[in-house]
Amino acid sequence: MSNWDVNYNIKSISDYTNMQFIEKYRPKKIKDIAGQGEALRQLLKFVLNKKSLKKGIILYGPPGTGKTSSAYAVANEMNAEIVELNASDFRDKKSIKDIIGGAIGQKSLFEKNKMIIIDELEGIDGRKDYGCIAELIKIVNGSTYPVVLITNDLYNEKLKDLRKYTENIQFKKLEQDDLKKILTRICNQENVLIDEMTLKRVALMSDGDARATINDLQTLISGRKELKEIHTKVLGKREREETIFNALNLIFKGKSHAVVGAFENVDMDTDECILWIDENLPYEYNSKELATAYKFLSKADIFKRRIVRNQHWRFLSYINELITAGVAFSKETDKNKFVKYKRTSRLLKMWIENQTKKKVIAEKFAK
Amino acid sequence: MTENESVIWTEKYRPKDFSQVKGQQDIVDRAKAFVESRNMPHLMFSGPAGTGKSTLSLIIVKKLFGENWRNNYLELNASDERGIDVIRQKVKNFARTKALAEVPFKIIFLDEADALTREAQQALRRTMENFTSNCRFILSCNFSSKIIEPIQSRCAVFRFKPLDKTEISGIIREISKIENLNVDDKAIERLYDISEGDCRRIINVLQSIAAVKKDITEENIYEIVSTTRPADIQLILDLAIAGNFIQAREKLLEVMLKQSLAGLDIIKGIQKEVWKINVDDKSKIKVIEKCGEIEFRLVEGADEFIQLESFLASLALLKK
Repeated sequence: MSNWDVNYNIKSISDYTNMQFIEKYRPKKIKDIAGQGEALRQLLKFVLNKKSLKKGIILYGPPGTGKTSSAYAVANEMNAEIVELNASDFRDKKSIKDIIGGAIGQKSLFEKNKMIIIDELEGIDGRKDYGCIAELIKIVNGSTYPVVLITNDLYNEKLKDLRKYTENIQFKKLEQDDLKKILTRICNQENVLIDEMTLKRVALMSDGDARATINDLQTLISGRKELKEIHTKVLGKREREETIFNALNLIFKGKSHAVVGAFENVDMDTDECILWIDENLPYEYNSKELATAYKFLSKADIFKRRIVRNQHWRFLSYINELITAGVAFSKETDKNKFVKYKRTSRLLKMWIENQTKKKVIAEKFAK
Repeated sequence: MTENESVIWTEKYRPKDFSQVKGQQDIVDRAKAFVESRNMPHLMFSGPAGTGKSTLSLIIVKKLFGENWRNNYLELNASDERGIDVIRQKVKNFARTKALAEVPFKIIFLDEADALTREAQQALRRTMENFTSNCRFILSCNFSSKIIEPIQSRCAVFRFKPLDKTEISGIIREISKIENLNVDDKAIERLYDISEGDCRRIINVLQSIAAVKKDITEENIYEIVSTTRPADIQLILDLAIAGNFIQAREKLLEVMLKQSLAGLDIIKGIQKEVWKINVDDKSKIKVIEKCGEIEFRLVEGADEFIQLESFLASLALLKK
C-alpha cells in the first residue's frame, strides 16, 4: 500500500467515526426514504408536472418524518440545484428577494434545473422577517422552478395567506415496522447485536420520529457491541402511557398518602397529568366524590395560573398534592372494577370544533 | 481567612471526572462512551437545579478537548443576549467555522435553553444540522416541554433526577472528611431534607454552617439555615387543632422571632408536617389546600402573622 493510500484511509476513517448518525444515515435517494410512499408519489408528480408549477407545494408533518430529506432526495435525483432558506437565515423581504429572486430570475448557465426550498416556515419571525410571506407568495406564483415549502404546522396562522396558493402533502409519523427497519440496518452496519424486544422498545420510544430514533440508537450503542433491553432505560423518552396508567390506577384506587408520589416516575409535565386525570375521573367516580375530586382539580388549575403570575414555583408542590392525594381521598367507596384509561381527547375535539366554526363563518361571509 | 478558605465550595468540589459525578449513573456512563468514541449526537439535559447538568457538560468538554478546551467551546446562558439575532449570527458563525487543533468537533453549550424564545429555537434547528461536522450542541433546561419538538427530535434527551438520600449523604460525608467537620447522622438526615435533591444547595448550606462551626448537629442547622424544626411545627399544629389558639400563636411568634424565620419558611415547614398530624385523610388534604392558599396570599404580599393566625384558627374546626 502506498503512503497516499494510508493517509487517505486514515482521513476517511476519522471523518466517518466523528459523524453523527443522523447525518451518516440520512437518506440520500428517494428509495432510501422510509414509510412515505404516498407523499413521495405526490411530490414527484408535482415536481415533474410543468403545469402545476404556477403554485407551490407545502410538505407538512411532525419532526423526523422525512420532509426535508425527501425534498433534497428528489432534487438530487432530478440533478437540480438547490436554493434554500430556513429559519437560521434572515428572511425579511430584502433577503428573500436577493437570494431567491436572483435564483429564479436567471437561467442556469448549463440549463441546469433548480429547486427552491423554503424550510421551517413556522419559524418565520413576525418582526425580524417582516414581509416574508408576501414575498414568498410572489415567488410561488412567479417561479419557473418548483417551490417546495416545508413546515411542521400547516395550520399556523402565519401561513393562512400562503396556503391559498399551495398544494399540501402530508408526511405521517412512521410506523413501528419502518422504524425497526431503519434501526436494524444501522445496527448491521455498525456491527452491533440487537434482539427483537430491544428493537421494539427503541422504536416505540421515538413516537414515529425517525431522526429521534436514530439519535437514541447512537446514544445506546456508543461503546457497545451488543444492545440489550436494560440499556434503554437511560433514555428520557420511556413508555409514557404505561407509566401514566400505573399512576392513575394508584390515585383512583389507592387510599394511603403514598399516592402523593404517583407521578414521580411519569415522564410528563403537570399540565398533561392534569388532563389525564380530568379525562378519566368520571369513569371512576360519581356524584359527591366526583364533585369533591373536581374541586381539588380546579384548585390545582388555579395554582398553575398563579405560578405563571407570581413566578413562584413552589406552588407546584401543592398542585401535585391536590391532584394526587386530593383526588384519591375524595373517594367514598372502594374502586375495584377495572377501568381502561383513555388518552385525553379534549384538545383534539376543541381544535376540530374551532376549524368547523371558522369554516361556517367563512362560508357565510362568502355569500 | 486563608486563601484556601475563601474558595467557594461548589467550585472546589465540582466533579472533574466522570467517576466523581454523584447520581445519574446511566447518563454519566453514556457521556463517557461518547467521549471515548469521540462522537456523539446533540444532547439535551433536562432536570431540576443542582443535579449535575452543567457539571457533566463541562467534563465532556474538558475530556474531549484537553487543556485548550476554551478554544472550541462556546457557552451561552440566560444572562447573555440570546434573541433570534444572536442565534442567527453568533451561534451560526461559531458553528460553521472549523474546530481548532486535534478535536473531532466544537461544542456549544446553551444553558437554560427553555428560556430561549420559540423563534430563537426555530432559528437553531438547521444550524444544529448543517454544521454537525464542526459542531455539537448541548442544551440544558429545567422543563423539556418548553423546548420545541423539532429541537428535541435532533437531540438525545436525558432526564436528570434529584439526588437521592445515599447520594446526598455521600457528598456530605466526603466533604466533611476533607474539611474536618463532624456531622452526626441526624444532621445528615436534616441536611438531606433541606437539599431536596439539589447538590449545589447542600454544598452551599454546608459551607455556610462550617464557616461558624466545625461540629454540625441538627441544632446548629436550625440556627443557621432558615428552616423550621419539625417538633416546633408539630407542637404548634397540635395546640391549634386542640383549640388552644392563644398558646399556638405564642409558640408561632416565638419560633419566628428566635430563628428569624419568614412566613414562607413556616408555611413550607407546615406543608411537610401535615401528613403526620392526627386527623383523618380527608381533613389533611383540606389543610394542604389551605396551606397553598396562605402561601399564595403571602406571595401576594399579605401580612404574614395575620395569615398564619387565620390558618391556625381554622385548624380547630377539623374533624378528629
